[in-house]
Amino acid sequence: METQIQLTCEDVPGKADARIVRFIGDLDATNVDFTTEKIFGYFDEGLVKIIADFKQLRYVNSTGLGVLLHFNKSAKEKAGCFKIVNLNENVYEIIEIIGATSLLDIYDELDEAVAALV
Amino acid sequence: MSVAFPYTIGVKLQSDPDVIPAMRKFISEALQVSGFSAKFAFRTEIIVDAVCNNAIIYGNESNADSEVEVSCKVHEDRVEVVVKDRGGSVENIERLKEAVNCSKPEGPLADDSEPAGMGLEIVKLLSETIELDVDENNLTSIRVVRKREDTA
Repeated sequence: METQIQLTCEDVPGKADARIVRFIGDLDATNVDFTTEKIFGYFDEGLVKIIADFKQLRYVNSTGLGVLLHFNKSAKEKAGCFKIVNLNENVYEIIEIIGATSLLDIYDELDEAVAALV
Repeated sequence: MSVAFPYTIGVKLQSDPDVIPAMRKFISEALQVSGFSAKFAFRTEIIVDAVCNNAIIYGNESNADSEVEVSCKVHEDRVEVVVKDRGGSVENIERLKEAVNCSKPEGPLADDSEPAGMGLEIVKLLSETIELDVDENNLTSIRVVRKREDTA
Protein backbone atom coordinates (compact mmCIF):
# COMPACT_ATOMS: atom_id res chain seq x y z
CA MET A 1 0.00 0.00 0.00
CA GLU A 2 1.23 3.48 -0.81
CA THR A 3 2.88 5.37 2.00
CA GLN A 4 0.73 8.13 3.44
CA ILE A 5 3.44 10.68 3.89
CA GLN A 6 5.24 13.01 1.54
CA LEU A 7 8.44 14.80 2.37
CA THR A 8 9.47 17.84 0.39
CA CYS A 9 12.74 19.64 0.89
CA GLU A 10 13.98 23.17 0.36
CA ASP A 11 17.18 25.08 1.00
CA VAL A 12 17.70 27.53 3.82
CA PRO A 13 19.33 30.65 2.34
CA GLY A 14 22.83 31.14 3.74
CA LYS A 15 22.89 27.79 5.51
CA ALA A 16 24.58 25.19 3.36
CA ASP A 17 24.22 22.43 5.94
CA ALA A 18 20.53 23.04 6.65
CA ARG A 19 17.29 22.03 4.97
CA ILE A 20 13.60 22.64 5.58
CA VAL A 21 11.73 19.35 5.26
CA ARG A 22 7.96 19.61 4.99
CA PHE A 23 6.02 16.60 6.28
CA ILE A 24 2.67 16.11 4.53
CA GLY A 25 0.23 13.42 5.65
CA ASP A 26 0.44 10.93 8.51
CA LEU A 27 3.62 9.62 10.17
CA ASP A 28 3.05 6.07 11.35
CA ALA A 29 4.38 2.52 11.28
CA THR A 30 3.69 2.17 7.56
CA ASN A 31 6.12 4.90 6.57
CA VAL A 32 8.72 5.32 9.32
CA ASP A 33 11.25 3.33 7.28
CA PHE A 34 10.73 5.61 4.26
CA THR A 35 10.96 8.69 6.48
CA THR A 36 14.06 7.45 8.29
CA GLU A 37 15.77 6.67 5.00
CA LYS A 38 15.05 10.20 3.76
CA ILE A 39 16.20 12.01 6.90
CA PHE A 40 19.32 9.90 7.33
CA GLY A 41 20.00 10.43 3.64
CA TYR A 42 20.15 14.17 4.36
CA PHE A 43 22.43 13.56 7.34
CA ASP A 44 24.73 11.45 5.15
CA GLU A 45 24.94 14.33 2.66
CA GLY A 46 26.13 16.60 5.47
CA LEU A 47 22.72 18.26 5.86
CA VAL A 48 22.69 17.84 9.61
CA LYS A 49 20.51 20.83 10.46
CA ILE A 50 16.93 19.91 9.66
CA ILE A 51 13.87 22.05 10.22
CA ALA A 52 10.86 19.78 10.08
CA ASP A 53 7.77 21.74 9.08
CA PHE A 54 4.70 19.90 10.40
CA LYS A 55 2.10 22.36 9.11
CA GLN A 56 0.56 19.66 6.92
CA LEU A 57 1.33 16.70 9.19
CA ARG A 58 -2.06 15.53 10.40
CA TYR A 59 -1.14 12.57 12.60
CA VAL A 60 1.76 10.91 14.41
CA ASN A 61 1.50 7.56 16.20
CA SER A 62 3.81 6.07 18.81
CA THR A 63 6.17 4.67 16.21
CA GLY A 64 6.38 8.08 14.56
CA LEU A 65 7.07 9.76 17.88
CA GLY A 66 9.88 7.30 18.43
CA VAL A 67 11.58 8.14 15.16
CA LEU A 68 11.29 11.88 15.81
CA LEU A 69 13.22 11.35 19.04
CA HIS A 70 15.70 9.24 17.10
CA PHE A 71 16.20 11.99 14.49
CA ASN A 72 16.71 14.55 17.22
CA LYS A 73 19.33 12.46 18.98
CA SER A 74 21.13 11.50 15.77
CA ALA A 75 21.29 15.09 14.52
CA LYS A 76 22.81 16.25 17.79
CA GLU A 77 25.39 13.46 17.62
CA LYS A 78 26.39 14.87 14.23
CA ALA A 79 26.69 18.40 15.65
CA GLY A 80 23.43 19.31 13.94
CA CYS A 81 19.84 19.76 15.02
CA PHE A 82 16.31 18.59 14.28
CA LYS A 83 13.92 21.47 14.86
CA ILE A 84 10.16 21.07 14.61
CA VAL A 85 7.78 23.89 13.62
CA ASN A 86 4.06 24.41 12.98
CA LEU A 87 2.79 21.48 15.05
CA ASN A 88 -0.96 21.05 15.05
CA GLU A 89 -2.68 20.98 18.42
CA ASN A 90 -3.42 17.24 18.45
CA VAL A 91 0.12 16.23 17.57
CA TYR A 92 1.58 18.67 20.09
CA GLU A 93 -0.61 17.22 22.83
CA ILE A 94 0.55 13.68 22.14
CA ILE A 95 4.15 14.83 22.31
CA GLU A 96 3.27 16.56 25.58
CA ILE A 97 1.54 13.46 26.97
CA ILE A 98 4.64 11.31 26.46
CA GLY A 99 6.78 13.99 28.07
CA ALA A 100 8.85 14.77 25.00
CA THR A 101 8.30 18.53 24.65
CA SER A 102 11.51 19.14 26.57
CA LEU A 103 13.43 16.60 24.50
CA LEU A 104 12.42 17.93 21.11
CA ASP A 105 13.35 21.32 19.71
CA ILE A 106 9.91 22.83 19.02
CA TYR A 107 9.13 26.27 17.58
CA ASP A 108 5.85 27.97 16.76
CA GLU A 109 6.97 29.55 13.50
CA LEU A 110 9.36 28.65 10.73
CA ASP A 111 11.12 32.02 10.96
CA GLU A 112 11.95 31.40 14.62
CA ALA A 113 13.50 28.03 13.85
CA VAL A 114 15.54 29.43 10.97
CA ALA A 115 16.78 32.30 13.16
CA ALA A 116 17.83 29.78 15.83
CA LEU A 117 20.13 27.93 13.45
CA VAL A 118 23.78 28.46 14.31
CA MET B 1 -27.76 13.93 11.53
CA SER B 2 -29.00 11.97 14.56
CA VAL B 3 -27.06 8.91 15.65
CA ALA B 4 -28.60 5.99 17.50
CA PHE B 5 -26.27 4.88 20.28
CA PRO B 6 -24.76 2.44 20.85
CA TYR B 7 -23.55 1.19 17.51
CA THR B 8 -20.64 -1.05 16.62
CA ILE B 9 -18.05 -0.89 13.89
CA GLY B 10 -16.60 -4.35 13.36
CA VAL B 11 -13.95 -5.42 10.90
CA LYS B 12 -11.60 -8.34 10.30
CA LEU B 13 -8.19 -7.24 9.08
CA GLN B 14 -5.49 -9.12 7.28
CA SER B 15 -2.34 -9.09 9.44
CA ASP B 16 -0.66 -6.39 7.43
CA PRO B 17 0.21 -3.07 9.12
CA ASP B 18 -0.55 -1.28 5.85
CA VAL B 19 -4.27 -1.89 6.31
CA ILE B 20 -4.38 -0.08 9.66
CA PRO B 21 -4.39 3.58 8.49
CA ALA B 22 -7.61 3.30 6.49
CA MET B 23 -9.37 1.48 9.33
CA ARG B 24 -8.25 3.84 12.10
CA LYS B 25 -9.23 6.88 10.01
CA PHE B 26 -12.66 5.38 9.33
CA ILE B 27 -13.24 4.99 13.06
CA SER B 28 -12.01 8.52 13.68
CA GLU B 29 -14.37 9.93 11.04
CA ALA B 30 -17.28 7.92 12.41
CA LEU B 31 -16.69 9.33 15.88
CA GLN B 32 -16.68 12.89 14.60
CA VAL B 33 -19.88 12.31 12.64
CA SER B 34 -21.34 10.95 15.89
CA GLY B 35 -20.65 14.20 17.70
CA PHE B 36 -17.35 13.41 19.39
CA SER B 37 -14.70 16.12 19.27
CA ALA B 38 -11.82 16.08 16.83
CA LYS B 39 -9.47 15.69 19.79
CA PHE B 40 -11.39 12.66 21.08
CA ALA B 41 -11.38 11.13 17.60
CA PHE B 42 -7.65 11.79 17.19
CA ARG B 43 -6.81 10.17 20.50
CA THR B 44 -9.05 7.19 19.78
CA GLU B 45 -7.29 6.87 16.43
CA ILE B 46 -3.98 6.61 18.27
CA ILE B 47 -5.41 3.93 20.58
CA VAL B 48 -6.77 1.86 17.68
CA ASP B 49 -3.49 2.26 15.80
CA ALA B 50 -1.33 1.13 18.73
CA VAL B 51 -3.46 -1.86 19.73
CA CYS B 52 -3.81 -3.05 16.12
CA ASN B 53 -0.10 -2.71 15.42
CA ASN B 54 0.62 -4.67 18.57
CA ALA B 55 -1.83 -7.40 17.51
CA ILE B 56 -0.38 -7.72 14.02
CA ILE B 57 3.30 -7.50 14.85
CA TYR B 58 3.35 -9.47 18.09
CA GLY B 59 0.05 -11.30 18.38
CA ASN B 60 -0.03 -12.66 14.85
CA GLU B 61 3.73 -12.28 14.38
CA SER B 62 3.05 -10.47 11.08
CA ASN B 63 1.63 -13.67 9.57
CA ALA B 64 -0.48 -12.27 6.73
CA ASP B 65 -2.61 -15.44 6.66
CA SER B 66 -4.03 -14.75 10.08
CA GLU B 67 -6.55 -12.07 10.95
CA VAL B 68 -7.08 -9.41 13.55
CA GLU B 69 -10.64 -8.67 14.63
CA VAL B 70 -11.38 -5.07 15.53
CA SER B 71 -14.58 -3.95 17.19
CA CYS B 72 -15.39 -0.39 18.15
CA LYS B 73 -18.59 0.03 20.13
CA VAL B 74 -19.63 3.66 20.24
CA HIS B 75 -21.79 4.77 23.16
CA GLU B 76 -23.02 8.29 23.73
CA ASP B 77 -20.48 8.80 26.51
CA ARG B 78 -17.65 6.41 25.66
CA VAL B 79 -15.99 4.18 23.13
CA GLU B 80 -14.99 0.57 23.67
CA VAL B 81 -12.28 -0.78 21.38
CA VAL B 82 -11.71 -4.55 21.34
CA VAL B 83 -8.90 -6.09 19.29
CA LYS B 84 -8.45 -9.87 19.04
CA ASP B 85 -5.45 -11.74 17.70
CA ARG B 86 -3.92 -15.20 17.83
CA GLY B 87 -1.71 -14.39 20.80
CA GLY B 88 1.69 -15.17 19.36
CA SER B 89 4.45 -16.77 21.37
CA VAL B 90 4.35 -17.48 25.10
CA GLU B 91 6.96 -14.75 25.49
CA ASN B 92 4.72 -12.29 23.69
CA ILE B 93 1.73 -13.10 25.85
CA GLU B 94 3.81 -12.65 28.99
CA ARG B 95 5.15 -9.35 27.67
CA LEU B 96 1.63 -8.23 26.90
CA LYS B 97 0.33 -9.19 30.35
CA GLU B 98 3.14 -7.25 31.94
CA ALA B 99 2.53 -4.21 29.72
CA VAL B 100 -1.23 -4.18 30.35
CA ASN B 101 -1.19 -4.96 34.03
CA CYS B 102 1.48 -2.55 35.21
CA SER B 103 0.25 0.78 36.50
CA LYS B 104 -0.09 3.86 34.31
CA PRO B 105 3.23 5.58 33.76
CA GLU B 106 3.66 8.66 35.92
CA GLY B 107 6.83 10.18 34.53
CA PRO B 108 7.72 10.98 30.94
CA LEU B 109 7.47 7.99 28.60
CA ALA B 110 9.99 9.29 26.17
CA ASP B 111 13.70 9.53 26.39
CA ASP B 112 16.14 10.17 23.61
CA SER B 113 17.63 6.68 23.70
CA GLU B 114 14.54 4.54 23.20
CA PRO B 115 12.86 4.99 19.85
CA ALA B 116 10.27 2.23 20.20
CA GLY B 117 7.93 0.52 22.61
CA MET B 118 5.66 3.36 23.69
CA GLY B 119 2.46 2.16 22.01
CA LEU B 120 0.64 0.43 24.85
CA GLU B 121 1.96 2.93 27.36
CA ILE B 122 0.36 5.73 25.37
CA VAL B 123 -2.87 3.71 25.18
CA LYS B 124 -2.91 3.52 28.97
CA LEU B 125 -2.45 7.26 29.27
CA LEU B 126 -5.26 7.97 26.81
CA SER B 127 -7.81 5.50 28.16
CA GLU B 128 -9.93 4.89 31.23
CA THR B 129 -9.33 1.14 31.30
CA ILE B 130 -7.33 -1.45 29.40
CA GLU B 131 -7.98 -5.14 29.94
CA LEU B 132 -6.37 -8.25 28.53
CA ASP B 133 -8.06 -11.62 28.12
CA VAL B 134 -6.20 -14.75 27.00
CA ASP B 135 -8.27 -17.88 26.39
CA GLU B 136 -7.20 -21.53 26.66
CA ASN B 137 -6.00 -21.47 23.04
CA ASN B 138 -3.92 -18.35 23.62
CA LEU B 139 -6.29 -16.23 21.56
CA THR B 140 -5.78 -12.74 22.92
CA SER B 141 -8.24 -9.91 23.31
CA ILE B 142 -7.47 -6.38 24.44
CA ARG B 143 -10.36 -4.14 25.48
CA VAL B 144 -9.83 -0.41 25.86
CA VAL B 145 -12.42 2.06 27.10
CA ARG B 146 -12.17 5.78 26.55
CA LYS B 147 -14.75 8.20 27.94
CA ARG B 148 -15.94 11.33 26.22
CA GLU B 149 -14.13 14.22 27.88
CA ASP B 150 -17.10 16.47 28.43
CA THR B 151 -18.99 13.77 30.34
CA ALA B 152 -16.02 12.28 32.20
